[in-house]
Amino acid sequence: MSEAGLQNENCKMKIEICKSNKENAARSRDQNAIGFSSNSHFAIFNLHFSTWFSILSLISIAASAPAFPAFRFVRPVFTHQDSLFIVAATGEPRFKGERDSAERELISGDTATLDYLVRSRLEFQTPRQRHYIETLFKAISDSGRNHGPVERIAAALPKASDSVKAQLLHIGSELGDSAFLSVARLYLTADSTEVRKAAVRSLGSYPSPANVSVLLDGLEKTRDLELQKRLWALSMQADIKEWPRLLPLMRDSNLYNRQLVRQIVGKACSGNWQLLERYIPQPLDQTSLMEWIQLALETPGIDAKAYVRKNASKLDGYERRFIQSMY
Amino acid sequence: MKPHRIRSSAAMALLCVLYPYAAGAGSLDFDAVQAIMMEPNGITQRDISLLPPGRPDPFRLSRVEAILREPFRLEGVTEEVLGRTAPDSGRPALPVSPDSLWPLLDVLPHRTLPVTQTSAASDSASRGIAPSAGSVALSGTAASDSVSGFRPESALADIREGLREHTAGLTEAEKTFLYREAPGLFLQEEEDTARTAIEGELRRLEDDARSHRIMELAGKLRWQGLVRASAAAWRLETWLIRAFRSGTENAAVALLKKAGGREFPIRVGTKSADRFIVGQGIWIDPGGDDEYVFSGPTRPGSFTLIVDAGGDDLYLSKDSLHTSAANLGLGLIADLAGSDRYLGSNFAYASAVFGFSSLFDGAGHDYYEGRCASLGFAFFGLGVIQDESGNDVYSASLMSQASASTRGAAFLLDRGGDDRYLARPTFQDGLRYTDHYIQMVQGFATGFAPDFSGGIGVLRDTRGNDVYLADIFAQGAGYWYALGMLIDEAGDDRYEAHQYAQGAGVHYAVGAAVDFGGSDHRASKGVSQGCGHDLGFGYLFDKAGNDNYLATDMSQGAGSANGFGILQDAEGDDMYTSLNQDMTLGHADMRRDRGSFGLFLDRAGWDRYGRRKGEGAAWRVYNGKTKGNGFGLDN
Repeated sequence: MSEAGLQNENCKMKIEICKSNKENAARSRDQNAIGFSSNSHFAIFNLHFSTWFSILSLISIAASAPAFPAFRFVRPVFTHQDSLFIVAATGEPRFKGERDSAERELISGDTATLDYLVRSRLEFQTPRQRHYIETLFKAISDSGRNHGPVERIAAALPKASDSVKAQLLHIGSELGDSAFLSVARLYLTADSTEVRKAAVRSLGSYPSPANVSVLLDGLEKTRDLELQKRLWALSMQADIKEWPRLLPLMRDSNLYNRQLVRQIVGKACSGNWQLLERYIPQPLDQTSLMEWIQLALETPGIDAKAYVRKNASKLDGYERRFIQSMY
Repeated sequence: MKPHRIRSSAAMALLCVLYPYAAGAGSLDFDAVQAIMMEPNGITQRDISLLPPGRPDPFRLSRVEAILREPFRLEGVTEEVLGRTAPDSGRPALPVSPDSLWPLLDVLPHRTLPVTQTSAASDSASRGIAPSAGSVALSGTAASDSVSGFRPESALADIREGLREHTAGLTEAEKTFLYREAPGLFLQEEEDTARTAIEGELRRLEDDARSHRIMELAGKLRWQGLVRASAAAWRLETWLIRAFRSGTENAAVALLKKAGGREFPIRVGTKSADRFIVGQGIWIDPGGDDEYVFSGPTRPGSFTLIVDAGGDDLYLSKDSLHTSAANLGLGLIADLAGSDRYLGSNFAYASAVFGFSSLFDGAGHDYYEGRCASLGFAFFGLGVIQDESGNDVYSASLMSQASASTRGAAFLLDRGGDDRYLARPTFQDGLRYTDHYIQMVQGFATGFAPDFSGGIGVLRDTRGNDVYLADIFAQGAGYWYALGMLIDEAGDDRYEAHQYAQGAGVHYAVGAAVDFGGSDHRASKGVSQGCGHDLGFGYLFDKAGNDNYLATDMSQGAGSANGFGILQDAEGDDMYTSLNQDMTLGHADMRRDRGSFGLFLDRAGWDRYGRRKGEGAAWRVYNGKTKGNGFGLDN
């Protein structure tokens, strides 16, 4: 592949340091004439206030200007797919018509588009472009009716860097195609935390009875956002019989983990507060009391509400005000 | 309930000793937020920490990183900023010393007083980098009152040598490259919005490649050289100011003329109207309504100083980067009296690109006009515009009025008068709208996503009933590892904007809008009034007065995409109006399968709301699916 082609494929720009004195001299002349600009979009000023001072100043700059390393931008030659992708990924309102048309063509490109995305668009993209790759994969997947995206991601994953792996696994979790579950499971024990987190996400996106034991396995050894991802995946499962195992995590130092534990436990008990109440530790400190009251608030049924009414008065002033605002 | 302070008590104690002025006025009342909103809802510092792992960047500022890691450190940084930009009490004002401001850029000031220094600070010192807030020794802003004993030749030598040292790590070719190419990063033309999507992408790729090359070379600049030169220039400037004030200017000028030499020519005007063509050198004028025309462009290593003692003067810097600014050099203006007009274009007046640029106006009702990167702008340097009194008007289009980029700290310090801060509708914000304008003004800072962190931009208005008018990105807003602040200390003020404004931190950045007094009016459409978006932190704090708040959505204490936003109003009978009540007043969404944080707190007064529950109520909106950690409370 030619150098220009490579750059085109990767969208990596190169800066060439031009050492040609001839070129630099010409450039110096041009730039002195228009100020300091090398591009038409730069401010161009005329010598409106030209005086002996400014003329002498310009002459001195020109005379002393050494051969400087000019910045030369090698413009990539965009392929048709590049152009479609660039237009489709732009968010500017004025391009709406072109964007919709480019998107239609990309989606109809199906596997050819997927191959292009995997080959050319997984690195060096803007945040919007990165997000748009996911949009395209999802659109082509058509809620799992087309397995092409899963196959392409599965094929790309083994060779990808960790950051791209995490991106691909996240895309896989958004496809709506449960065929991706078996792909994601291969990466649950990856060395990279980000890769593991992205893989776990698929277990939540594609719930299955088999996922529960996988998610609970080693749960106590995970923490912070990795624990959050596991708990989120657990919260998406239909039934967690082992929910009492999660109760110690109601004292987790992260709010988001405590919230997820409450969500899982509340759902698992299906409104049976008496079942839950047995597990309330005694004595209950103020922080834990707040958590259990919140769990009761989030649990359907009159027993849970009765617990809230009985215990809310034990809370401090502002805690009580926030809790009372919810019932 | 006993409130808990987040900040380091030792550092704060030191700061309060050094800057007693800052001790009271700078408090952002985060202890109240913590005690009333966070602790009762089980929210800890871990929950609101925003700094993501990875993404190392040698240009990231320690204070910005510290706030992202622990958002309530904003209080300490605010107090530090107030201290470092504080007016000298009980004496005629002088320009703020650059030595007082360099530590905000993690750069050691020229003369560091060894008040206290940690081992980390010592390590940093050897590299010319200042340690983080609190542990650095601080230099005062006041110069010695003694006029005699000053040796201008020594100051000029320091300027010469300092500027040389600043670029000593670069070849002539690299220096020229930086000088010519860096300003282009901040210029826009109206016709930019006429590009096709493909042309826009090509431009983005080109800018990206250019910025990488520029940053690579900028990393070779030696800060201590610039610090030395700017300290000397400031000493010289303040010496001349004091000479005028003490009536010894003739002796000072005679001394200076002897020292100046050919490199720094000295021009002295008369008490009648003079017209000057300003280039490198020193211009001194005792009075009269003068006209200063900035010739240009400057060149690397240039130094310009103007000291004008009085008269209603006209300053003209019509084209880009003339000597009213600094590009790899120094540009200082001190106009001690008179109602002046400062007319400029791009990179005009207190605009620093790899340099130090300041404009000090001592008195009068002044008019300031710039276009891009003007009236307090900085990129790898310091840009300070300081106006001591009068009803002033500041008008610019883009990245101006205290707007900073990478390793830059930009300040607009207005000490008094009823001022108008206007952002002109010049550059359409095509990315988001067809009928709004990108402005990045009035206490704004940005980096270059995804590679280079941003700077610190602070607009501080001390007194008066002021008007702030802007559109997109303004009035205490930050983007990409940056800190933008608007601090208004008194007066009944009006703030109007459209988006990303009035305390908005966007994409790993911090935006703070603080108003310590007066009955104020605020209006903005969205992502405003204490809104953090995408791991950003936005804070709007109004300490006193009967205030009005108007917004549409994602505002008034809102967290979006794992951001953290707070609106806190401490006193007064206030009115809150919002069109979309589900997305204001303590709103937070869900992103990355967890909740963002949005806190609304009105601590006192009889307040009115456009919602059913408001006055005297508490509320929370979390549902774990679409609503994140949004909380509101009215006392």
